[in-house]
Amino acid sequence: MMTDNILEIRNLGVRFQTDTGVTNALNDVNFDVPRGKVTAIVGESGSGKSVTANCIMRLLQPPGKIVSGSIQFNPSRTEPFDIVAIRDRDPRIYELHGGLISMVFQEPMTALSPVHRVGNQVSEAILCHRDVSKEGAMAEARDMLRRVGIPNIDTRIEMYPFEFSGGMRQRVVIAMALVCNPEVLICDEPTTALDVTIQAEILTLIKDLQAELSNSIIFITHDIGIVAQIADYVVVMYQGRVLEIGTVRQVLKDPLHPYTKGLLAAIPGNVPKNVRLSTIATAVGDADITTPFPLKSVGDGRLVSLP
Amino acid sequence: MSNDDDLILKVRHLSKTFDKHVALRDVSFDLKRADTLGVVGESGSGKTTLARCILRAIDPDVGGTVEFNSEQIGWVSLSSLRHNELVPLRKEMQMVFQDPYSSLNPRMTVRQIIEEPLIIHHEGNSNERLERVREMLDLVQLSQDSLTRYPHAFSGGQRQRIGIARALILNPNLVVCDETVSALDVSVQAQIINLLEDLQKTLHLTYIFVAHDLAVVRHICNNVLVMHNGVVVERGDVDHVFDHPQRNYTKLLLSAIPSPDPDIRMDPKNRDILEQPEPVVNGYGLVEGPVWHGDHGLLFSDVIFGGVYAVNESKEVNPVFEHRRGIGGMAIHAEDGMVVSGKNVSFKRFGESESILLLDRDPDNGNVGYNDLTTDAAGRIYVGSLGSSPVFDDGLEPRAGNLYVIDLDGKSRVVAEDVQLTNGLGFSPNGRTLYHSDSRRGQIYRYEVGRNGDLKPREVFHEFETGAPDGLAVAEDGSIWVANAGAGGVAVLEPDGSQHAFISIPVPMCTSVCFGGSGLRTLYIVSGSNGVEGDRNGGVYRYEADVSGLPLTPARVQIPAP
Repeated sequence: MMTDNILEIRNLGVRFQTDTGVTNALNDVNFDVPRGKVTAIVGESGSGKSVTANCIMRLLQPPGKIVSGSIQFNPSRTEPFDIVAIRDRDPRIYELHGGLISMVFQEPMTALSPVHRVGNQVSEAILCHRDVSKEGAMAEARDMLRRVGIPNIDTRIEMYPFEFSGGMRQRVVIAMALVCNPEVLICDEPTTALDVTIQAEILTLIKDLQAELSNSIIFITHDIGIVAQIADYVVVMYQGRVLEIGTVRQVLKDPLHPYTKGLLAAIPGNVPKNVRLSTIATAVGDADITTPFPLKSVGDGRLVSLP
Repeated sequence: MSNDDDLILKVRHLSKTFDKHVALRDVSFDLKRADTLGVVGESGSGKTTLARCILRAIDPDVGGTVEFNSEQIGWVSLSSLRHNELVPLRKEMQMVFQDPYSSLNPRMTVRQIIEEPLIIHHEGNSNERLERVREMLDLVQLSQDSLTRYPHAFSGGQRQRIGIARALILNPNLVVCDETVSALDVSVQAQIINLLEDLQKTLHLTYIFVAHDLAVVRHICNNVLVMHNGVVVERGDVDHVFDHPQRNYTKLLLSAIPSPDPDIRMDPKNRDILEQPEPVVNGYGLVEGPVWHGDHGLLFSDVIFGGVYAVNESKEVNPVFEHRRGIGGMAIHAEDGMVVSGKNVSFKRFGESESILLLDRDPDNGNVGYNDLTTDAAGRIYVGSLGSSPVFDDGLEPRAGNLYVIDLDGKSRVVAEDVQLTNGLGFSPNGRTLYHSDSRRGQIYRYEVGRNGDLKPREVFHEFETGAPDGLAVAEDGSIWVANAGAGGVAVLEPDGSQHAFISIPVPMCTSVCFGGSGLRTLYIVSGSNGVEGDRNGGVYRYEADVSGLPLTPARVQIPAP
């Protein structure tokens, strides 16, 4: 990958220091997020997907701490800055949250306030970031809610989140995230809590809005099916490290790292019926997936952590 | 009781209503021993309610039955036992839950958790129980030092193994897995699926696998039930159902699965397809007289080319009997046969060719034949007669037809006159109102029903501006579903006469409707050709209704000796 990246993550290290010991949640994480594309971060629980997202959003909470590395925002354009380096009081943090980068979480009910009307919650994001009147903000919120497919806007906008279905709530969260037209949208398992039919609707919505607004998306998921359908690029993570980077076709059709091969072999949909599923452990076999080999380029823009 | 030894479970007409919400409606299926049955559907489709009703974790509505083939005592009706009578049977049926975090008591050690079922069922002394727990740990591949630890010390996959060990320690035969692998990472999910499959082989377990992940269901199940709004909309061999989905809902569900192959683009179907009738069969001249029969499926006649056919839920058509052309109305008769109307009204027993006359035509009285018929709650037959008309080219003076009732003793009488072209008939849910289409006037009449089935003078209930009302059916909520011949679809009328929906079919000649299928939730719509003589474009469509049809009482009219 090269040229126009919206984010460049270099040597990112995160450590969790607790009473029971030290965990290195991220070790020397390196990847780029190309502008205007969908980059999927895929991995199992504990692989560091969400920690990476929290670092980009500057949402990492103690005992987690960034111990090394940089996250360059907008490196190829004017006013680039390192997200890791800016101070907590820096006004750019404020601008970052929801203005430049915003996030859609797994469980929409936790991302929405239960005691505020939906219209107010979406317009609040506009009032935070831009100098517009309340009425102007509400008009924009209404427009955004319409674009994410909320029907009967006039009544819906006055309702509370608990009056919405799971899929409709997630649409509201997406409206909140996109209403300030951020450069980067991070989706952290946004469809895991939803039915497969609603998931399909939300994925279609995210794809359509991305085509329309051409923002850059980081899509965090453990579901290879979703990766295949939505991503342009894939970053495979395991135990706080990046094991493989490539286009979606490269990684899913021709995986190079034994762990990636194992991950793909463990999916029921990828295996004929009556054939025993591989677990990652059996698929990986004797291959060494724990030694942190640095990523090396293997041509066609692909990177893989192999000796 | 049954003696189907290879079956473990027979579920019949299982329903569950919470307050007024029907969560499960008339579910029936058989389950073979050592089979794996998948139950799929969206949240709220009734999957979990079904699982819980089977195990009597909740009590199903009165009327449904669950028969279980117990190893100890043979076939037993789970649905009619008292709770204390169920206790010994609980050993044979167990459940594994979705959430490995909330289904294990955090203040009990792994030994206590796995051992508890043995204590509840008074099995063994302390040493024997510990021995069993150790065996279970080996079986689910957890280390022996897990015994004294608490659930929080385990990962999600390990906790699910603890839940499985606890479910299996009583040697159950039937295990219900409710979203057992849904919360797990793909690699751990693969381990648990493999474990469940291995245990099935060694312990001859039967699984009911409730899941929303269709790829998982396809991988481990032989058969599948697809549920929507509390009803089983499709069932069968899992590969067959997934490769050749018949119902629009199944198509919607399957189209939403994101393929792990980036070259296979997801093309999710729009929920609107649920609103469209889907074709069932085609190739008939003019389909009429649809009526639902629990064993045969949908029975229908071909007015143009003759014959009566049955089509089942898998769209397989079987001829029921041969008949000359012209059957316009049909009803089920309690004596294992049907009442059919055409030139006359007659009874035909299933499997026999003989017709027994119930009501002959009477040309002198303005009656050259009969059209649609229906039955009231007592089993009387209501049938309209066709008056002579230039359309029939019979050389008779044009005059209107009548509405007849055939009483239980077989005697008939006229209950209403002056019907220009009689068509669909149907009673309201309380039986006190009869709706009746008059196609030539474009009106639906409403009669108040008096004692002995007499009708009070009619009023016009609804008038169609386009097309003509043809066959009709009434739903549980009192709505009237009217085929509109000419307008190509079914109008849904409220009891106050207002129209609240219209369901279109691809051909204009929509001839009749009836409710059928599981829970009478499927609206069958039948059609004729496009008016060209000899065309075979008539067919049957079906549509998933948001309401159940009103069950029709079989006719109980006395059959005269032949």
